[in-house]
Amino acid sequence: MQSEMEFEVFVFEVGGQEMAFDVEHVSMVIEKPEITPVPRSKKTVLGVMNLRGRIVPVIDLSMLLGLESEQQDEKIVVVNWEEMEVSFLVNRVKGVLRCDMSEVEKLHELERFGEKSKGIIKKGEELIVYLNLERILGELIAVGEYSSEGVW
Amino acid sequence: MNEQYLSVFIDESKEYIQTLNDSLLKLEKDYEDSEAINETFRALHTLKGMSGTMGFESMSKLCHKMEQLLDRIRSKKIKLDSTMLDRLFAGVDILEKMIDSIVRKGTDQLPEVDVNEFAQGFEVLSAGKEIKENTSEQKPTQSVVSISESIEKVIAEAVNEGYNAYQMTITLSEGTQFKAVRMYMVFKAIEDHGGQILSSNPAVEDIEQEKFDRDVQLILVIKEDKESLRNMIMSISEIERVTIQDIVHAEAQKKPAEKIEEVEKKQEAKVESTKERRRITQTVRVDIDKLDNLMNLMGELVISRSRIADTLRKYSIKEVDESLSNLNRISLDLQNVVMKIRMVPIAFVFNRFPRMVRDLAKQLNKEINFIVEGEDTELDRTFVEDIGEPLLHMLRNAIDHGIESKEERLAKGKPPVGTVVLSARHEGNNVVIEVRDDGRGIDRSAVIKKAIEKGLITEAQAEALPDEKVYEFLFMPGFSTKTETTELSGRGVGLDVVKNVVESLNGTVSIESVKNKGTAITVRLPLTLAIIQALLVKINNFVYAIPIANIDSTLSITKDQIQKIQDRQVSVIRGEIIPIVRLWDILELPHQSEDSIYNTVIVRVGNRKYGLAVDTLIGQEDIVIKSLGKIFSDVRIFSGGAILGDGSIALILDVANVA
Amino acid sequence: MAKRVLIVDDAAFMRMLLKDIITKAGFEVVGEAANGVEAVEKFKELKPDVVTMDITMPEMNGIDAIKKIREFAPDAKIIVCSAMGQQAMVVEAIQAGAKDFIVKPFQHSRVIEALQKIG
Repeated sequence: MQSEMEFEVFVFEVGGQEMAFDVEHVSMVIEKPEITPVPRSKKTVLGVMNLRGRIVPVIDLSMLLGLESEQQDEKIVVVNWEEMEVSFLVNRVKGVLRCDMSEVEKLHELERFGEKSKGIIKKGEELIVYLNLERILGELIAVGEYSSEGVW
Repeated sequence: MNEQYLSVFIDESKEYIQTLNDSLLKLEKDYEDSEAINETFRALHTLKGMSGTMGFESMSKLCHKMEQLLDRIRSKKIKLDSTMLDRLFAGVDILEKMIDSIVRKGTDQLPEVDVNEFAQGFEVLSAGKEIKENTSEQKPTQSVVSISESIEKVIAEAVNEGYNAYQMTITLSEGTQFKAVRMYMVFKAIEDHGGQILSSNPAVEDIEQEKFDRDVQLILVIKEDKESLRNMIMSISEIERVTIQDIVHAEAQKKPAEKIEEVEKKQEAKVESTKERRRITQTVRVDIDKLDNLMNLMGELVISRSRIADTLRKYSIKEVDESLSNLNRISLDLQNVVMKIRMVPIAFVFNRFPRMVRDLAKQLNKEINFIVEGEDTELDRTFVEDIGEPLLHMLRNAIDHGIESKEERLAKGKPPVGTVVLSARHEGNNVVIEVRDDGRGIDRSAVIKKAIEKGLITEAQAEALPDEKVYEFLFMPGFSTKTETTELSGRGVGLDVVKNVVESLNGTVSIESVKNKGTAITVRLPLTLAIIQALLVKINNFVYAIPIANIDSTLSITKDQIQKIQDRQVSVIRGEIIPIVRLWDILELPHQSEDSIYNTVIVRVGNRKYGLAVDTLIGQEDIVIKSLGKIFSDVRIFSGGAILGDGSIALILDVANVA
Repeated sequence: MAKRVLIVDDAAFMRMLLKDIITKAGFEVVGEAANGVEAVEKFKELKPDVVTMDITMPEMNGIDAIKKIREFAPDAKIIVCSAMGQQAMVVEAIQAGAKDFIVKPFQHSRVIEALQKIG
């Protein structure tokens, strides 16, 4: 019974805010490597990196979420979603945290993240933004398919 | 039942069913095509034996009855007609269903069909309509190259003068370029040695126009013996195989060749063509995952190789240089082999369409001349499974919506028979597949009307919208222009499905259409995982790769050689006006160095040429193309990325979209 | 003894590319020429075992160069390099005495096959 409500998240810090992804999608954390910029790609995409012979996009998570970026202690969190392998630049990595659904709240004051967040995980004093990875990746892919301006 | 046998049985049966469909289609065009009659007979005979051995009695029985009918046709006891042909087609369909049932349920029993009764039908056909003996005197079965009486005479005379007469089959290597010129070299070699070519199949005119696949059969007389003739031909490049047979007298032609000697080039990895599929039985089934794995390892090997080469080049040790160039060659060969293993001819996909087109045309009471081109075009086998469905939709659209009824065509002054062309070809790093019809074309105003109805555009916007934008509506889910959807093309399903599948394969679809002239839908797929040769160039310390296949030449031009014509920078190079594009502008990179000389790469896209100015030309390298992934699907100037020897990434320019 | 090759092409890039392929395959490139006139001179001077000859070149084209070379060296072994769509020119080159042809863009294996076959 209890286990159905429990889940694990991977917690890290971006722009002074604690954030979390579902742990099952996080495959590894590495030091920031050399990143090759991809000209004319989206602003939130920093470029691509060589990850053991694979070419993996690196996303600037703070810019994506509209946060101030502080350029220190940079780490790369690599995630896998279905067939996609994507990585995010974050400031610090905290570790894995076990939570219960009852600790997740949908807070409207956090609308700034819109659907990119599934809610707030409250752990005592700590507030962790529980990110919606599917939505974030969906937005990264979708741009360009339907632009909002005019007909096309 | 042994699983292993069963899977071989199923695979082979499917191949025979394909053969049956193909040969029946041939017979539909020419009821007297003895080659096709024989082929049908043989396939049925083999299938009968195979299914009998496996204990599939119904299947074996049906094959037997069909075979009997064919036997009577073959021996000219009865004449093939359209009733029989329809029945045979239906029989093949039942055989196919049986195999399907064997795959799924392990039995050849079909609950919905009374096979016994169906099989009896063939008996009735076989028994009826005896042909009177005197009409059955037909010329004997022709062999590949016919030896006419006049040729026989020449052979007899030549043999008296000490010449040898041979029938020779020459097979060109896969992918031979300028096949006609290659064959010209063969003809020239024979004639230079005092030989004379008496006949060829295909005919010389067809060879000159490259209207042949890879095989050419010749009848010739020459003084050389077989061995030196063979050496002479094999010394010409791009000849894969030569088969030489004595012609003792013309009679020997009709018997199957027993004394065939065959030489094959060892160095070339043998990739079987569809036509040869059955002859070459030495194949091994490999799990596709293992092939993927092999391909990845290959990529790693290529990278490690260049890394070692880079390191060692600094010391230039002679002994190492030699082994290094060996290693280079071996890994290149290995690359090619691995790539080829994954490639299959598109015939695997195309094969099933002639039959489908025939049935559909019959159902709609339309006459269709269906032309298939470029069946030998190879593509990565991962595409084969996915591309069939979209192509099917495209063909159905062409036949159902594109081609008009006979009456309508005649009224428009068009030939009553509609033409649908399905073609495949390689273009740079793409496989291009096209379905083209000469039907009514897309009605632009109808599309616009619908788009306005659906609130996608306003009337005012519609006017200025270019055709290709208008056609794009057709790719939207649920957008169909035909008011009443027919059962055949489904309801609203169609081009949006095509677009989805093709894009999931990293490809693109486009439509061209002219009212009353016809429509062409073009699908472009990448050659996945390809290892290509690229020229590496540098801008602001980042390395970019340009595929060699797109490069015309490289040169340096000075600033004053560049002129401005209507906002465009151009330069006159060897009398040609060529637009010059600064790559750093395209890549939106800041660029300080204001050299007065530009290193320029002239690239070619179709008939178009333009120059790309870069900072530095680094050199040529083999790179493994890797996809950048969906996140970059909006960045059309790059076709992918590659990891270089030092571990850094070079983005690969898609020159078609750069300028 | 590695075969000694003379490369003739007006584009430095094509020469670089060919040289790379040829050297990697274990042959020796003894010289390069950028047009037909230079090719004839270099041939006299270097007496190479094999020549790769581009067709379209300034000054003197490849076909004329083949004819010139064969006037004084009837056994010269020449491979003509052609671009797509130049079938007719290739036939002409073979009539002029070229022994084989290769088509741009070059495939390594084809270039090497041609060099090996030419004997």
